[in-house]
Amino acid sequence: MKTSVKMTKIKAIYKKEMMDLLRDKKTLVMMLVVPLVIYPLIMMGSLLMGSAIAGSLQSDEYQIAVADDKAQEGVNGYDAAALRALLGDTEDSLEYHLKLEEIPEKSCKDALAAEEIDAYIVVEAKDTEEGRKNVFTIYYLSSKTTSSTAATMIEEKLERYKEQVSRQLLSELGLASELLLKPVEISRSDSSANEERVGSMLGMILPFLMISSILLGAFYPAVDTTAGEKERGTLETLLTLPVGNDELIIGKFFAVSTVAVASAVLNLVSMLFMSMYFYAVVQTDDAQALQVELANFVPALLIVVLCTVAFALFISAVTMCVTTFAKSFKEANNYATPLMLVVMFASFVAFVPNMEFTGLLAAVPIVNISLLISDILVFEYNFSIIMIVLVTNMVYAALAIVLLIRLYNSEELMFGEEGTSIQIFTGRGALKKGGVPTLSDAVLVLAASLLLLLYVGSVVQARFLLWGLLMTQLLILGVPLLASWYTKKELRETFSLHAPKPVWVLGAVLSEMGCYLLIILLSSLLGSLFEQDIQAVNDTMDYILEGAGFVQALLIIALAPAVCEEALFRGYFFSAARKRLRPAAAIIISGAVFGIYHLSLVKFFTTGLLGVLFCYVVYRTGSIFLTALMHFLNNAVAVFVLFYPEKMERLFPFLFHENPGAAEVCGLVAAGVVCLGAGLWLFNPKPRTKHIN
Amino acid sequence: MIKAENLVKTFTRTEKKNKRTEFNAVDGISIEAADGEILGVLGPNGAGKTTLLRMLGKLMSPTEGEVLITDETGRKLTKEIEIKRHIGYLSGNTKLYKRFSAREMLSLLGEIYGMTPQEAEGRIEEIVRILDLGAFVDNRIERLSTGQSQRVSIARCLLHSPQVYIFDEPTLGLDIISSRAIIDFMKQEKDQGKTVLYSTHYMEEAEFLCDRIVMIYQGQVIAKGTPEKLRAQTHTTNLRDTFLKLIENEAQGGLLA
Repeated sequence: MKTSVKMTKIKAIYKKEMMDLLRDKKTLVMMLVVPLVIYPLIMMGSLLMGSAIAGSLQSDEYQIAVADDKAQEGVNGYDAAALRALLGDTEDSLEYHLKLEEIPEKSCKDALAAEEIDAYIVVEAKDTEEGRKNVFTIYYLSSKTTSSTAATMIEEKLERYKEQVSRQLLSELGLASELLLKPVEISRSDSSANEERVGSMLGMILPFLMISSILLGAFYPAVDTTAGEKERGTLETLLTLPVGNDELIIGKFFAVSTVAVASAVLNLVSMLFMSMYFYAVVQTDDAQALQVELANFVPALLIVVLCTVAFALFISAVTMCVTTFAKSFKEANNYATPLMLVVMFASFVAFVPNMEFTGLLAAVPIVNISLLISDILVFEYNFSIIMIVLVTNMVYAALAIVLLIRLYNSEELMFGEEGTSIQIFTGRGALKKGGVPTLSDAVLVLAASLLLLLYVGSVVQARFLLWGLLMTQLLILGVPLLASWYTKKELRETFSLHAPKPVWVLGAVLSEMGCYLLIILLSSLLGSLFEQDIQAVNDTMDYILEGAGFVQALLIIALAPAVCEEALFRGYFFSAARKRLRPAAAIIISGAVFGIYHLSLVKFFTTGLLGVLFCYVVYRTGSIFLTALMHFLNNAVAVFVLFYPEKMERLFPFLFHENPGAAEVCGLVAAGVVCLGAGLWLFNPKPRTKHIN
Repeated sequence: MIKAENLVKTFTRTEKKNKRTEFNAVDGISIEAADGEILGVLGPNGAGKTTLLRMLGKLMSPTEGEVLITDETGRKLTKEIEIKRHIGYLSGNTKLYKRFSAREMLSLLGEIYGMTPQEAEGRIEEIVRILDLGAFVDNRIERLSTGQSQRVSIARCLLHSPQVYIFDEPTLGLDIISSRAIIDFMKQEKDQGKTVLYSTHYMEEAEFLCDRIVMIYQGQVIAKGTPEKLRAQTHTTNLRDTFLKLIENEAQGGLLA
């Protein structure tokens, strides 16, 4: 009886929410316009663009030149006229035309630079042990598409010319030419079923499209049913009704997920129609079109639909949790961007080639759906993994709903007037001056820095080595500085810019020494566990340091991180964490984040530990200068070891023992603990940053 | 009948420099309103009226104390859902679902109150007659005038035939005709033996309407009784002066004899 009453109420709430949502223009637009208008437009646009590109390639005429011959006629049957005839021959090449010009080599070079011609050939006679040979060099500009195409075509033609010459030479020797020319034949045959090939192509884009369309489909209804009720002032009306929070949330949740599922299915259907249309168009164009039995996709698509539903439930619950914090549509939209970034970033995993889809990954939300969809489309059915994905998504959705029910009990959240916690996306004029960053802002800044590190940092480091490292560090410094300028934060508090007491400096040096000893032990312990990882780290270091001087290395490897990384981790992030979390939680989380950021399993533990110590020092002293010093010392030792290994080994032999004995380990641990303890003891017993409840 | 004893509501307030302090918005209020009675809850802004009424309506849970109501059969109810089922709550913040017509909204809410579609339909017809909503009951609420939507709000409170009405400044910002509709409604319901709890800043309105008055200041009751009794106590001739005098006394720290 009781449950049936509950069900009736949930049904009534669901009905009310659905009617309400379907009368909201934003929801309808998101649900219908994207799949029914945007996709066809994208598809049509790409078709048009494709044919336009093909058309432009076809109509192109390539200007090529042969520079003044240095080759002697007659060497190995070289015949300038025949070569010209071959190059200029446009009969056999229907798609492209080469136009031949003859210019002296010097002017060839200028003409290429001025882009008057697309490529030119220089023929030189060269003496080798076996006799005289003609060497053909093709000069072109790899940065220009037409030029590289022309070069490729010339190469093809020269290959044919080579074959011709060989055939001629062989026949002059009276040998059966074909067998000698092609003694073996190599060919490739793709054994993947055509369905698998199409599936793997779909698997690249489908997860991303599906995940983002579900998120878009869920977002507006989620905002409408949570923040929307607050904004329109109907929340209090809702709370006068004789329904429990659980019934309310479940009713709302089902309404949001219905819209999300509907929009996802619409998206899927629209995408299918579009790809069938696309397929039909391509097929008439290309004689070698893939023959695909669409019926073979039906089971795969059914599982995709099932996953979609599970994911829609999950994302609806999560989105509702996020939007419940907002007071208005405008504020909720501020949360949209970071949410989309996280979800889309995670869904990009399907693009990573050869990603091993294990049981552990199957439990990671978003990533699991993305990988599963791309696996299913190449017909890799692993039912246990499918089950894990479905079940974990349900479990996460349920957890999010439980959280949501608790949030709805929070009167502060329901009736409160607190401002937005994400300030970075708020108009600057609306922000008050002063204070430290919010935790949400800090997380965003950290994410932005990490993305910059991954995408920009790796590129500039590969390109500029040590200088690239410096650029990366400056980027890391720039993001929090820019963010705190934009949100008008007080720099002194945000970056803990307080002068230390002299005795604290001693404390910092001592505790850093102690910590260093412990970290060496830890990394030699971990080193045996993660040998490859350590090797990779060392190799990267050697590569980056190639040709660098000692002072340069010291400045860039020790000083720059001591300033830049400290500003981000112990400055911006830690001050935000300190404000919101209990001290222990703030210190451990900030430390762990510092560890994660080094993107290596071994370094996670060692730098994580270091991060915890640094955060603790800032917590105790409020001075980032101390941790900057400690960070500098820590990295400087590494630079010294790299540049002066013998001297360092003589001075500090224990740093170099790969397998220290038990006595030595005990001694080092004792020394480390004593130094660390003494260092920490030297800090003023009263923490400088006040504890805020 | 609605009754609450020693209600306390503690909030944490964030002040400058992120210092959080606790304070009692409602600090030990006992209140009781009988069937067939209109009880006025008066007090300056920030006295704790809204918090008190929200707790009585079970929109907020009290930090201390309990709310009890009796339904039309005299049964005592203390559970949140049961209390909500027997309360009609109206405040400046209980807005309507604008995308629906009044009829649609009422029938959806009827379902949530546990009525069958037929029951809801019958009840809506009845309410349309009582409140004279016929002219606009099928128009979307977003197109109604302020007075019309106020009448729909009353219809919302009336829908489930509650025993107790809690009205938090229901006439705030309304013109004379619209507030007249609400005042008449409260009187009618009182005459039918319902309990009405009502807060307002309009002293003339309260004087003319309330059987008894509870005066609240800084989360506490500073005076209660019939309007006549309060006037006599403070030696004033109208409730406005009574109110001012009581607040004045309280602010000086003195209590009335």
